[in-house]
Amino acid sequence: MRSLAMRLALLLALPLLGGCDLVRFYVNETSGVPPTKLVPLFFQEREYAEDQRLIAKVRGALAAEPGLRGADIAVDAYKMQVSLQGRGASPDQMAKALAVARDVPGVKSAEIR
Amino acid sequence: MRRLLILLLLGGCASGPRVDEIKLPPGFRISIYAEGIPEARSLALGDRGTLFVGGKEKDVYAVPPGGGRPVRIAAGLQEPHGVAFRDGALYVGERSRILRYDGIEERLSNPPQPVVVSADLPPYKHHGLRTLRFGPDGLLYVPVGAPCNICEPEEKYAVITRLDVRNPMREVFARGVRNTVGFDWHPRTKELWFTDNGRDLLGHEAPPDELNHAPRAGMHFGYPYCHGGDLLDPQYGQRRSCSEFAAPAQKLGAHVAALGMRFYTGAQFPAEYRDAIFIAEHGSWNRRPKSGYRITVVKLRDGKAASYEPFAEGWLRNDKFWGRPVDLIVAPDGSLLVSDDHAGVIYRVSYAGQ
Repeated sequence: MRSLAMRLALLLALPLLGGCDLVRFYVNETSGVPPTKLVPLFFQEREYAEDQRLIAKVRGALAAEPGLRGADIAVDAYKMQVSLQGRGASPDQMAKALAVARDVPGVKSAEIR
Repeated sequence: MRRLLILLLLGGCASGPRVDEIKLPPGFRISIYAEGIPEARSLALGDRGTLFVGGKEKDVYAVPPGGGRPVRIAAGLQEPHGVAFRDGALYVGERSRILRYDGIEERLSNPPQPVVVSADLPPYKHHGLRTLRFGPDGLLYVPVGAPCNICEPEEKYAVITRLDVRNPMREVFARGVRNTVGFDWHPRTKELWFTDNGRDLLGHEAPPDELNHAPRAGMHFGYPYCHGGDLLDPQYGQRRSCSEFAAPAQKLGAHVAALGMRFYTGAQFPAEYRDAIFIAEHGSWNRRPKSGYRITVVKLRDGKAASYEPFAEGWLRNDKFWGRPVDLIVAPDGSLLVSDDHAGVIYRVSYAGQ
Protein backbone atom coordinates (compact mmCIF):
# COMPACT_ATOMS: atom_id res chain seq x y z
CA MET A 1 0.00 0.00 0.00
CA ARG A 2 2.69 2.47 0.98
CA SER A 3 4.57 1.97 -2.22
CA LEU A 4 7.35 4.21 -3.37
CA ALA A 5 5.04 5.73 -5.96
CA MET A 6 2.51 6.61 -3.27
CA ARG A 7 5.18 8.26 -1.18
CA LEU A 8 6.55 10.18 -4.13
CA ALA A 9 3.09 11.39 -5.06
CA LEU A 10 2.52 12.52 -1.47
CA LEU A 11 5.85 14.30 -1.42
CA LEU A 12 4.99 16.15 -4.61
CA ALA A 13 1.53 17.01 -3.35
CA LEU A 14 2.75 18.42 -0.03
CA PRO A 15 3.74 21.86 -1.30
CA LEU A 16 0.38 22.12 -3.03
CA LEU A 17 -1.49 21.12 0.11
CA GLY A 18 0.66 23.07 2.53
CA GLY A 19 1.18 26.08 0.30
CA CYS A 20 2.90 29.09 1.81
CA ASP A 21 2.88 27.63 5.33
CA LEU A 22 5.07 24.78 4.30
CA VAL A 23 7.46 27.02 2.44
CA ARG A 24 7.58 29.32 5.44
CA PHE A 25 8.21 26.34 7.72
CA TYR A 26 11.06 25.20 5.53
CA VAL A 27 12.72 28.61 5.39
CA ASN A 28 12.20 29.45 9.06
CA GLU A 29 12.93 26.16 10.71
CA THR A 30 15.84 25.06 8.59
CA SER A 31 17.29 28.49 8.01
CA GLY A 32 17.41 27.72 4.32
CA VAL A 33 19.82 24.84 4.84
CA PRO A 34 20.09 23.21 1.41
CA PRO A 35 18.29 19.93 0.76
CA THR A 36 21.69 18.36 0.03
CA LYS A 37 22.33 18.62 3.76
CA LEU A 38 18.83 18.06 5.06
CA VAL A 39 18.02 14.94 3.04
CA PRO A 40 20.97 12.83 4.30
CA LEU A 41 20.22 14.04 7.84
CA PHE A 42 16.59 12.98 7.41
CA PHE A 43 17.59 9.48 6.36
CA GLN A 44 20.30 9.28 9.02
CA GLU A 45 17.76 10.07 11.66
CA ARG A 46 15.28 7.51 10.35
CA GLU A 47 17.75 4.65 10.81
CA TYR A 48 17.12 4.36 14.52
CA ALA A 49 13.35 4.85 14.33
CA GLU A 50 12.94 2.24 11.60
CA ASP A 51 15.05 -0.29 13.51
CA GLN A 52 12.92 0.30 16.59
CA ARG A 53 9.74 -0.33 14.60
CA LEU A 54 11.25 -3.50 13.17
CA ILE A 55 12.29 -4.74 16.62
CA ALA A 56 8.71 -4.26 17.81
CA LYS A 57 7.38 -6.21 14.83
CA VAL A 58 9.81 -9.10 15.39
CA ARG A 59 8.97 -9.20 19.10
CA GLY A 60 5.31 -9.36 18.17
CA ALA A 61 5.90 -12.21 15.73
CA LEU A 62 7.90 -14.16 18.33
CA ALA A 63 5.21 -13.62 20.96
CA ALA A 64 2.55 -14.88 18.56
CA GLU A 65 4.43 -18.12 17.85
CA PRO A 66 2.94 -20.96 19.95
CA GLY A 67 6.21 -22.94 20.09
CA LEU A 68 8.03 -19.98 21.61
CA ARG A 69 5.68 -19.34 24.48
CA GLY A 70 7.71 -18.51 27.57
CA ALA A 71 11.03 -18.33 25.70
CA ASP A 72 13.06 -15.31 26.73
CA ILE A 73 14.61 -13.94 23.54
CA ALA A 74 16.11 -10.47 23.25
CA VAL A 75 15.75 -8.77 19.86
CA ASP A 76 18.05 -6.11 18.47
CA ALA A 77 18.47 -4.61 15.01
CA TYR A 78 20.79 -2.32 13.12
CA LYS A 79 19.84 -1.11 9.65
CA MET A 80 17.13 -3.79 9.41
CA GLN A 81 19.53 -6.61 10.27
CA VAL A 82 18.11 -8.45 13.24
CA SER A 83 20.01 -10.26 15.95
CA LEU A 84 18.46 -12.55 18.54
CA GLN A 85 19.85 -13.49 21.89
CA GLY A 86 18.36 -16.38 23.80
CA ARG A 87 18.31 -16.14 27.56
CA GLY A 88 17.58 -19.69 28.56
CA ALA A 89 15.78 -20.57 25.31
CA SER A 90 16.53 -24.04 23.88
CA PRO A 91 18.46 -24.49 20.58
CA ASP A 92 15.21 -25.68 18.96
CA GLN A 93 13.41 -22.57 20.11
CA MET A 94 16.24 -20.36 18.80
CA ALA A 95 16.12 -22.07 15.41
CA LYS A 96 12.37 -21.55 15.33
CA ALA A 97 12.76 -17.90 16.41
CA LEU A 98 15.29 -17.33 13.64
CA ALA A 99 12.88 -18.69 11.04
CA VAL A 100 10.05 -16.53 12.41
CA ALA A 101 12.20 -13.40 12.43
CA ARG A 102 13.33 -13.97 8.84
CA ASP A 103 9.71 -14.04 7.76
CA VAL A 104 8.91 -10.64 9.24
CA PRO A 105 8.50 -8.12 6.40
CA GLY A 106 11.39 -5.64 6.31
CA VAL A 107 13.94 -7.95 7.94
CA LYS A 108 17.06 -8.02 5.76
CA SER A 109 18.80 -10.74 7.71
CA ALA A 110 18.55 -12.42 11.07
CA GLU A 111 21.23 -14.08 13.15
CA ILE A 112 21.80 -15.45 16.62
CA ARG A 113 24.17 -13.41 18.69
CA MET B 1 54.53 49.71 -7.66
CA ARG B 2 54.17 46.44 -9.51
CA ARG B 3 55.66 44.56 -6.58
CA LEU B 4 53.17 46.21 -4.27
CA LEU B 5 50.35 45.17 -6.56
CA ILE B 6 51.53 41.55 -6.57
CA LEU B 7 51.82 41.62 -2.80
CA LEU B 8 48.32 42.98 -2.50
CA LEU B 9 47.01 40.30 -4.86
CA LEU B 10 48.78 37.56 -2.95
CA GLY B 11 47.45 38.94 0.30
CA GLY B 12 43.92 38.99 -1.07
CA CYS B 13 44.15 35.41 -2.24
CA ALA B 14 45.73 33.98 0.90
CA SER B 15 43.22 31.55 2.28
CA GLY B 16 44.88 30.41 5.49
CA PRO B 17 43.43 31.02 8.93
CA ARG B 18 43.14 34.76 9.52
CA VAL B 19 44.02 34.91 13.20
CA ASP B 20 44.46 38.67 13.08
CA GLU B 21 40.69 38.92 12.61
CA ILE B 22 40.03 37.33 16.00
CA LYS B 23 39.01 39.81 18.66
CA LEU B 24 40.12 39.08 22.22
CA PRO B 25 40.08 41.01 25.51
CA PRO B 26 43.03 43.42 25.96
CA GLY B 27 46.36 41.72 26.62
CA PHE B 28 45.41 38.43 24.98
CA ARG B 29 46.98 37.12 21.80
CA ILE B 30 46.06 34.29 19.44
CA SER B 31 48.44 32.40 17.17
CA ILE B 32 48.61 29.15 15.23
CA TYR B 33 49.96 26.29 17.37
CA ALA B 34 49.69 23.61 14.70
CA GLU B 35 48.16 23.39 11.24
CA GLY B 36 47.32 20.77 8.66
CA ILE B 37 45.00 18.74 10.88
CA PRO B 38 41.83 18.36 8.84
CA GLU B 39 38.80 17.88 11.07
CA ALA B 40 40.65 18.68 14.31
CA ARG B 41 38.21 17.78 17.08
CA SER B 42 38.75 16.69 20.71
CA LEU B 43 41.97 17.52 22.55
CA ALA B 44 43.96 15.68 25.21
CA LEU B 45 47.42 16.34 26.64
CA GLY B 46 50.00 13.65 27.35
CA ASP B 47 52.20 13.63 30.45
CA ARG B 48 55.10 15.00 28.41
CA GLY B 49 53.05 17.75 26.78
CA THR B 50 52.13 16.02 23.53
CA LEU B 51 48.79 17.29 22.26
CA PHE B 52 46.49 14.56 20.91
CA VAL B 53 43.83 15.58 18.42
CA GLY B 54 40.82 13.40 17.59
CA GLY B 55 39.17 13.58 14.17
CA LYS B 56 35.69 13.38 12.73
CA GLU B 57 36.64 11.10 9.83
CA LYS B 58 39.37 8.46 10.24
CA ASP B 59 42.59 9.89 11.67
CA VAL B 60 44.11 10.85 15.01
CA TYR B 61 47.01 13.30 15.20
CA ALA B 62 49.67 14.21 17.75
CA VAL B 63 51.37 17.59 18.03
CA PRO B 64 54.79 17.61 19.72
CA PRO B 65 55.18 19.59 22.97
CA GLY B 66 55.27 23.32 22.29
CA GLY B 67 53.57 23.01 18.91
CA GLY B 68 54.71 22.40 15.38
CA ARG B 69 54.33 19.72 12.78
CA PRO B 70 51.52 17.23 13.53
CA VAL B 71 52.12 13.48 13.23
CA ARG B 72 49.32 11.15 12.19
CA ILE B 73 49.33 8.37 14.78
CA ALA B 74 46.20 6.44 13.73
CA ALA B 75 44.36 6.05 10.45
CA GLY B 76 41.36 4.16 9.14
CA LEU B 77 39.31 4.43 12.33
CA GLN B 78 35.58 5.08 12.51
CA GLU B 79 35.07 8.74 13.42
CA PRO B 80 37.72 8.82 16.18
CA HIS B 81 36.47 12.07 17.69
CA GLY B 82 37.24 11.42 21.35
CA VAL B 83 40.68 11.35 22.96
CA ALA B 84 41.75 10.99 26.60
CA PHE B 85 45.08 10.28 28.26
CA ARG B 86 45.85 8.21 31.34
CA ASP B 87 48.92 6.36 32.71
CA GLY B 88 50.93 6.81 29.53
CA ALA B 89 48.16 5.51 27.29
CA LEU B 90 45.96 7.31 24.79
CA TYR B 91 42.28 6.34 24.72
CA VAL B 92 40.41 6.95 21.49
CA GLY B 93 36.63 6.99 21.17
CA GLU B 94 35.28 5.62 17.92
CA ARG B 95 31.55 5.48 17.20
CA SER B 96 31.18 1.96 18.64
CA ARG B 97 34.50 1.22 20.34
CA ILE B 98 36.98 2.60 22.83
CA LEU B 99 40.62 1.90 21.93
CA ARG B 100 43.82 2.18 23.97
CA TYR B 101 47.31 2.94 22.64
CA ASP B 102 49.86 2.05 25.32
CA GLY B 103 53.07 4.01 25.84
CA ILE B 104 52.07 6.29 23.02
CA GLU B 105 54.29 9.27 23.81
CA GLU B 106 57.48 7.22 23.33
CA ARG B 107 56.19 5.78 20.07
CA LEU B 108 54.62 8.64 18.14
CA SER B 109 56.45 7.73 14.93
CA ASN B 110 55.73 4.03 15.36
CA PRO B 111 52.46 3.75 17.30
CA PRO B 112 51.44 0.40 18.81
CA GLN B 113 48.41 -1.59 17.70
CA PRO B 114 45.43 -0.51 19.77
CA VAL B 115 43.84 -2.64 22.46
CA VAL B 116 40.02 -2.69 22.36
CA VAL B 117 38.81 -1.55 25.77
CA SER B 118 35.11 -1.74 25.00
CA ALA B 119 32.98 -2.33 21.91
CA ASP B 120 29.46 -1.86 23.21
CA LEU B 121 28.72 1.69 22.09
CA PRO B 122 25.74 2.11 19.75
CA PRO B 123 26.28 1.93 15.96
CA TYR B 124 24.18 4.88 14.76
CA LYS B 125 25.78 7.81 12.99
CA HIS B 126 23.37 10.37 14.40
CA HIS B 127 25.11 11.94 17.42
CA GLY B 128 27.61 9.10 17.10
CA LEU B 129 30.77 11.06 17.96
CA ARG B 130 32.08 9.94 21.36
CA THR B 131 33.79 12.38 23.67
CA LEU B 132 36.05 10.79 26.29
CA ARG B 133 37.45 12.25 29.47
CA PHE B 134 38.76 10.85 32.73
CA GLY B 135 37.10 12.17 35.85
CA PRO B 136 38.74 12.91 39.19
CA ASP B 137 37.34 9.53 40.32
CA GLY B 138 39.59 7.81 37.76
CA LEU B 139 36.61 6.66 35.70
CA LEU B 140 36.32 7.28 31.97
CA TYR B 141 33.23 9.33 31.13
CA VAL B 142 31.56 8.60 27.79
CA PRO B 143 28.35 10.36 26.80
CA VAL B 144 25.97 8.61 24.38
CA GLY B 145 23.81 11.17 22.58
CA ALA B 146 20.26 10.70 21.34
CA PRO B 147 20.14 8.82 18.00
CA CYS B 148 17.90 11.56 16.59
CA ASN B 149 17.15 15.26 16.74
CA ILE B 150 14.16 14.67 18.97
CA CYS B 151 12.79 11.28 20.03
CA GLU B 152 12.22 9.24 23.17
CA PRO B 153 14.97 6.66 22.76
CA GLU B 154 15.87 3.57 24.77
CA GLU B 155 17.53 4.10 28.14
CA LYS B 156 21.03 3.60 26.78
CA TYR B 157 20.76 6.87 24.82
CA ALA B 158 20.76 10.52 25.83
CA VAL B 159 22.98 9.73 28.80
CA ILE B 160 26.43 10.31 30.21
CA THR B 161 27.95 6.96 31.09
CA ARG B 162 31.17 6.11 32.89
CA LEU B 163 33.37 3.06 33.21
CA ASP B 164 36.44 1.72 34.90
CA VAL B 165 38.78 0.94 32.01
CA ARG B 166 40.03 -2.19 33.81
CA ASN B 167 36.49 -3.54 34.03
CA PRO B 168 34.63 -1.96 31.15
CA MET B 169 31.01 -2.20 32.30
CA ARG B 170 29.45 1.17 31.66
CA GLU B 171 27.03 2.68 34.15
CA VAL B 172 24.76 5.66 33.62
CA PHE B 173 25.83 8.82 35.43
CA ALA B 174 23.27 11.32 34.08
CA ARG B 175 20.14 11.16 31.91
CA GLY B 176 18.17 13.49 29.69
CA VAL B 177 21.30 14.75 27.93
CA ARG B 178 20.66 15.19 24.21
CA ASN B 179 24.27 15.35 23.09
CA THR B 180 27.16 16.65 25.13
CA VAL B 181 30.50 17.13 23.41
CA GLY B 182 32.24 18.89 26.28
CA PHE B 183 32.50 18.35 30.01
CA ASP B 184 34.93 19.04 32.82
CA TRP B 185 35.13 18.88 36.59
CA HIS B 186 35.38 21.96 38.78
CA PRO B 187 38.97 22.09 40.00
CA ARG B 188 37.92 22.61 43.64
CA THR B 189 34.53 20.93 44.11
CA LYS B 190 35.39 18.11 41.63
CA GLU B 191 31.79 18.26 40.38
CA LEU B 192 30.89 17.66 36.76
CA TRP B 193 29.80 20.47 34.43
CA PHE B 194 28.87 19.89 30.81
CA THR B 195 27.51 21.56 27.70
CA ASP B 196 24.48 20.20 25.90
CA ASN B 197 23.17 21.02 22.43
CA GLY B 198 19.51 21.95 22.18
CA ARG B 199 17.14 20.32 19.70
CA ASP B 200 16.65 21.65 16.20
CA LEU B 201 13.54 22.83 14.37
CA LEU B 202 11.95 24.90 17.12
CA GLY B 203 12.82 28.18 15.47
CA HIS B 204 15.81 30.51 15.44
CA GLU B 205 15.66 31.65 19.05
CA ALA B 206 14.80 28.41 20.84
CA PRO B 207 15.75 26.32 22.58
CA PRO B 208 18.97 27.56 24.20
CA ASP B 209 22.03 25.35 24.35
CA GLU B 210 22.84 24.47 27.94
CA LEU B 211 25.65 24.58 30.43
CA ASN B 212 24.70 22.03 33.08
CA HIS B 213 25.95 21.15 36.53
CA ALA B 214 25.75 17.57 37.80
CA PRO B 215 27.02 17.49 41.39
CA ARG B 216 25.85 13.90 41.84
CA ALA B 217 24.94 10.81 39.85
CA GLY B 218 21.38 10.04 38.79
CA MET B 219 20.18 13.48 37.69
CA HIS B 220 17.91 14.01 34.66
CA PHE B 221 18.46 17.07 32.49
CA GLY B 222 15.16 17.13 30.64
CA TYR B 223 15.65 15.75 27.13
CA PRO B 224 13.38 15.04 25.27
CA TYR B 225 10.66 16.46 27.56
CA CYS B 226 11.94 19.86 28.63
CA HIS B 227 14.51 22.17 27.02
CA GLY B 228 16.54 24.87 28.71
CA GLY B 229 14.78 24.30 32.04
CA ASP B 230 11.51 26.00 31.09
CA LEU B 231 10.44 25.04 27.57
CA LEU B 232 8.29 21.92 27.33
CA ASP B 233 8.78 20.04 24.10
CA PRO B 234 5.72 20.50 21.85
CA GLN B 235 5.72 16.78 21.09
CA TYR B 236 7.21 14.99 24.12
CA GLY B 237 6.45 17.54 26.83
CA GLN B 238 2.79 16.71 27.16
CA ARG B 239 1.87 15.48 30.65
CA ARG B 240 5.32 16.55 31.86
CA SER B 241 6.56 19.46 33.88
CA CYS B 242 9.95 21.15 33.64
CA SER B 243 10.16 21.06 37.44
CA GLU B 244 10.78 17.29 37.18
CA PHE B 245 14.19 17.94 35.66
CA ALA B 246 17.45 19.70 36.45
CA ALA B 247 17.54 23.17 34.87
CA PRO B 248 20.72 24.42 33.19
CA ALA B 249 23.26 26.32 35.27
CA GLN B 250 23.45 28.76 32.38
CA LYS B 251 21.40 29.04 29.21
CA LEU B 252 23.66 29.55 26.23
CA GLY B 253 22.72 31.04 22.86
CA ALA B 254 20.17 29.17 20.74
CA HIS B 255 21.87 26.84 18.24
CA VAL B 256 25.38 28.13 19.05
CA ALA B 257 26.45 24.45 19.17
CA ALA B 258 28.38 24.64 22.43
CA LEU B 259 30.93 21.81 22.18
CA GLY B 260 34.15 21.70 24.21
CA MET B 261 34.28 23.27 27.65
CA ARG B 262 37.09 23.51 30.17
CA PHE B 263 37.73 25.14 33.51
CA TYR B 264 40.68 27.50 33.38
CA THR B 265 43.22 26.04 35.79
CA GLY B 266 46.36 27.80 34.56
CA ALA B 267 48.23 30.69 36.15
CA GLN B 268 48.92 32.69 32.98
CA PHE B 269 45.55 34.48 32.53
CA PRO B 270 44.43 37.29 34.87
CA ALA B 271 42.89 36.27 38.20
CA GLU B 272 39.32 36.91 37.01
CA TYR B 273 39.62 33.85 34.74
CA ARG B 274 40.68 31.45 37.47
CA ASP B 275 38.20 28.55 37.58
CA ALA B 276 36.11 30.21 34.86
CA ILE B 277 34.58 28.00 32.16
CA PHE B 278 35.68 28.46 28.55
CA ILE B 279 33.25 27.15 25.95
CA ALA B 280 33.93 26.49 22.27
CA GLU B 281 30.84 27.39 20.24
CA HIS B 282 31.07 25.51 16.96
CA GLY B 283 28.28 27.54 15.35
CA SER B 284 24.78 26.92 14.12
CA TRP B 285 23.80 25.13 10.95
CA ASN B 286 20.11 25.86 11.22
CA ARG B 287 19.81 29.39 12.49
CA ARG B 288 19.51 32.67 10.69
CA PRO B 289 21.44 34.82 11.25
CA LYS B 290 24.25 32.43 12.13
CA SER B 291 25.43 32.38 15.73
CA GLY B 292 28.26 30.83 17.68
CA TYR B 293 31.60 30.50 15.85
CA ARG B 294 33.34 31.92 18.91
CA ILE B 295 34.73 31.16 22.36
CA THR B 296 32.69 32.30 25.32
CA VAL B 297 33.46 32.41 29.02
CA VAL B 298 31.16 31.68 31.95
CA LYS B 299 32.38 32.99 35.28
CA LEU B 300 31.09 31.41 38.47
CA ARG B 301 30.31 33.00 41.80
CA ASP B 302 29.48 30.85 44.83
CA GLY B 303 29.18 27.80 42.60
CA LYS B 304 26.65 29.45 40.29
CA ALA B 305 27.04 30.93 36.82
CA ALA B 306 27.37 34.70 37.25
CA SER B 307 28.11 35.82 33.68
CA TYR B 308 28.19 34.50 30.11
CA GLU B 309 30.19 36.59 27.65
CA PRO B 310 32.08 36.28 24.38
CA PHE B 311 35.82 35.81 24.85
CA ALA B 312 37.11 35.37 21.28
CA GLU B 313 35.16 36.30 18.15
CA GLY B 314 35.87 36.86 14.48
CA TRP B 315 35.50 33.45 12.86
CA LEU B 316 32.11 34.67 11.64
CA ARG B 317 31.87 37.79 9.52
CA ASN B 318 28.91 39.00 7.43
CA ASP B 319 27.14 35.72 8.14
CA LYS B 320 30.04 33.75 6.61
CA PHE B 321 32.51 31.74 8.66
CA TRP B 322 36.09 30.68 8.04
CA GLY B 323 36.66 28.69 11.23
CA ARG B 324 34.75 26.72 13.86
CA PRO B 325 36.12 26.14 17.40
CA VAL B 326 35.53 22.60 18.70
CA ASP B 327 37.49 21.89 21.86
CA LEU B 328 39.87 23.64 24.19
CA ILE B 329 42.45 22.60 26.74
CA VAL B 330 44.75 24.41 29.17
CA ALA B 331 48.38 23.87 28.14
CA PRO B 332 51.08 23.31 30.79
CA ASP B 333 52.23 26.94 30.39
CA GLY B 334 48.71 28.22 31.12
CA SER B 335 47.81 29.19 27.57
CA LEU B 336 44.60 27.90 26.03
CA LEU B 337 44.78 25.56 23.03
CA VAL B 338 41.73 25.49 20.74
CA SER B 339 40.93 23.07 17.92
CA ASP B 340 39.15 24.15 14.71
CA ASP B 341 37.75 21.45 12.42
CA HIS B 342 36.91 23.83 9.61
CA ALA B 343 40.25 25.61 9.27
CA GLY B 344 42.07 22.42 10.32
CA VAL B 345 44.29 24.10 12.90
CA ILE B 346 45.05 24.37 16.60
CA TYR B 347 45.20 27.91 18.01
CA ARG B 348 47.09 29.06 21.06
CA VAL B 349 45.53 31.85 23.12
CA SER B 350 47.97 33.43 25.53
CA TYR B 351 48.06 36.42 27.84
CA ALA B 352 50.94 38.82 27.52
CA GLY B 353 49.78 41.58 29.85
CA GLN B 354 48.42 45.03 29.11
